[in-house]
Amino acid sequence: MRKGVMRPGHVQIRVLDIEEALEHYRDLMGLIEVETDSQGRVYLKGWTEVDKFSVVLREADAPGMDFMAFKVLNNQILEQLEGELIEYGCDVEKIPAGELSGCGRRIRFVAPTGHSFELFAEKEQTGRYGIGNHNPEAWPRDLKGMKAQRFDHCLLYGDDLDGTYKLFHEVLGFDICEQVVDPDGNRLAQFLSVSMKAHDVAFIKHPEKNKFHHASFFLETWEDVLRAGDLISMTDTSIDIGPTRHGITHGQTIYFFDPSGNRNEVFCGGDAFYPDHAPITWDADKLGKAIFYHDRQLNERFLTALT
Amino acid sequence: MSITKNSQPADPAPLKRFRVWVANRQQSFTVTSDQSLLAAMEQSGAQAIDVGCRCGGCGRCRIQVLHGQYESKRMSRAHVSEHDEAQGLVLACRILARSDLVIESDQFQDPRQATVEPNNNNEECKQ
Repeated sequence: MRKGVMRPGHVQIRVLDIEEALEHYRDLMGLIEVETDSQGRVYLKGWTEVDKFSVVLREADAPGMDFMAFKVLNNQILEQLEGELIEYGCDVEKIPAGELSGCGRRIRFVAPTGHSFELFAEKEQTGRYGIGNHNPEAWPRDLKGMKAQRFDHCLLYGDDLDGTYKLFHEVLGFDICEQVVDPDGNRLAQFLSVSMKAHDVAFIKHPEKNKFHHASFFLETWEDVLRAGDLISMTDTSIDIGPTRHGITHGQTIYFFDPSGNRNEVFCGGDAFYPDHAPITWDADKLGKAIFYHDRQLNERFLTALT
Repeated sequence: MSITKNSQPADPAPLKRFRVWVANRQQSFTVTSDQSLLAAMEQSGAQAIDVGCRCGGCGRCRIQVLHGQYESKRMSRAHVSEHDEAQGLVLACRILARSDLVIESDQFQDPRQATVEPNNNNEECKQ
């Protein structure tokens, strides 16, 4: 049952060098640079996004994900979910409005896979970049690089998939859209949706907690994904795999790394999901095809290169 | 008749070439002074070091430098501590050779937990 969680709101990513990271996320991926805050964190967004920012880069001595946040419908929902998280057994941290510039108060909790998640209800709305809300043109003409449209989802690696699913389903109203299951019935991968998208956050089973696999950004067409591949080669950016298609979600994709080794995806397509849909199940021995539909096998790096 | 050389502009700092010997793999490859050890290995076709993110983040290409001089770029402290770095335990994707090198690869896949900087002290949700 949906509980008022709307969509992924932002992800804070640790990078080794903020200038190199900015060249990557702004000039190559085409995110819009919004602001640098008093802590030196840089805020960016995809050009179609209405809220002020969706990506926060923080310079640190180890890359990875600090936290991923979801936006909820309103403050009443935020209070309701805060109570339910505490009742469920979560240690909920309150973060005051303005700690992220332009964002209202946030609540933070750690999922059983070890990842930090946040909920918030309010963020300054600066509108879609370059075209606004009134008689908008099709797209702004000064976009750079891959012209990424929006921050779409994260894929995270961790140990307790069942615990995280239970929390996300029962308290936050996410549904399981697709899953990979081994012969003993253990879930090895789970793709969770709180919207009509094929995934808003996904998890793959891994012995360590709190590992970051990738942050993903939406492109409009397969031609855009191919063009992203061209740009990756032109800039000698570290590639993981692609362009190719996923079996899971049917999205078309390419994976590459930012200059600190955090993996990024740009993709297009993907199935539509409604809450009455039964989960789509892949057998573990079809994992290769489920992830990379054309190669039909996983590259070692996809499973082991994490931050 | 004079012999004219190919008129490339003079490179202010000509590239130097060094030999990298991977002792525990019985393999070697050549690296130039402007490329990382890992990039040189990939370019040579050798398969002596694991390739991950190539950007100092994932720790897959950890090596032990046994002999030789090098410069290094910033690498994840989750995989290379200051102590490691001082002992020559480094990431091949962040190392630039400044002499011939002797290294070991791959035996360093120790299972120690990554020490990612803690973001907060929250306990995981328990029911």
